[in-house]
Amino acid sequence: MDAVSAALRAQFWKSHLLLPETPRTGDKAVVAKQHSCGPAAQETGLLVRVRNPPVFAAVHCEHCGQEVEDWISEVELIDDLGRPIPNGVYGYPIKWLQRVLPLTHQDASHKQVAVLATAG
Amino acid sequence: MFTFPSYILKNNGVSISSAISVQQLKAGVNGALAILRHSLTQSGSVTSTQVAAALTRKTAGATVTAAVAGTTLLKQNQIQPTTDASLGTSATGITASAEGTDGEQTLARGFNVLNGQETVYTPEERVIVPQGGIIAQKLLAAFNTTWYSELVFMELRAS
Repeated sequence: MDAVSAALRAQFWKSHLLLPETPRTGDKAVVAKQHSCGPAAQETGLLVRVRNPPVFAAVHCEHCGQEVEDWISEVELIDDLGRPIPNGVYGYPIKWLQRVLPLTHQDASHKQVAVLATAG
Repeated sequence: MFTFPSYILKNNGVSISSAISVQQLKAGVNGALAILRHSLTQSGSVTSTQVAAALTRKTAGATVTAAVAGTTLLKQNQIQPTTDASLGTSATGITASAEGTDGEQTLARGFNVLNGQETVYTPEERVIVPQGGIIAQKLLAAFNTTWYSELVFMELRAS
């Protein structure tokens, strides 16, 4: 990464854009806001994993070409178990994603944790 | 979903006999670009021979045949905007006639011409070319044949 890109990315972590619900690198996230063209209108609720810190860039809707210029993170689609679904290289505005926090023992009953542990 | 604008720089079926840059890419002024994949294969020889090629940063651009959008520089998705890469005879283009000045080699690899070589980067190790930076795919050993090469990149730029 060149110095300019590195400085821009570092800037993001210091900015007011970093909220508790902002997904960090490696986090699971759910698409909370969608673009309104036909096929993309079904994207809300999709599970993704954030692959890298955001960079200020322009990305385009793969269906209609609409441009969005914002803080963009690369994301991969994942299934319910967190396994990546091989598809594209997608960039999504970080503000359109909602962090999904991992389940901890504080959040779940002992029974639920035991079930999860058994499931591996 | 949204995609970063991605493009393929192609140099298909050109006879090259010297150790020289097969393709050269110069980033535009609006942002950096990331190299996703590059390949080098040939069709003119059935003789097993080992050669080497490198991805090399340039501190001064080679003299090349300028890339042409839609012919040698293709959009991954037709709906994407025109590339921000700088096209020209000392910028983005194919088949160098004179080398510029080589900088660091980000990757150098030997391969058998019967197999060719293809490099796909993991997200963590993608080579980033800064604004205005130049990178080239270069043959390190002379081998006279018809070469086919591709350089796939993604633009991380503002509009």
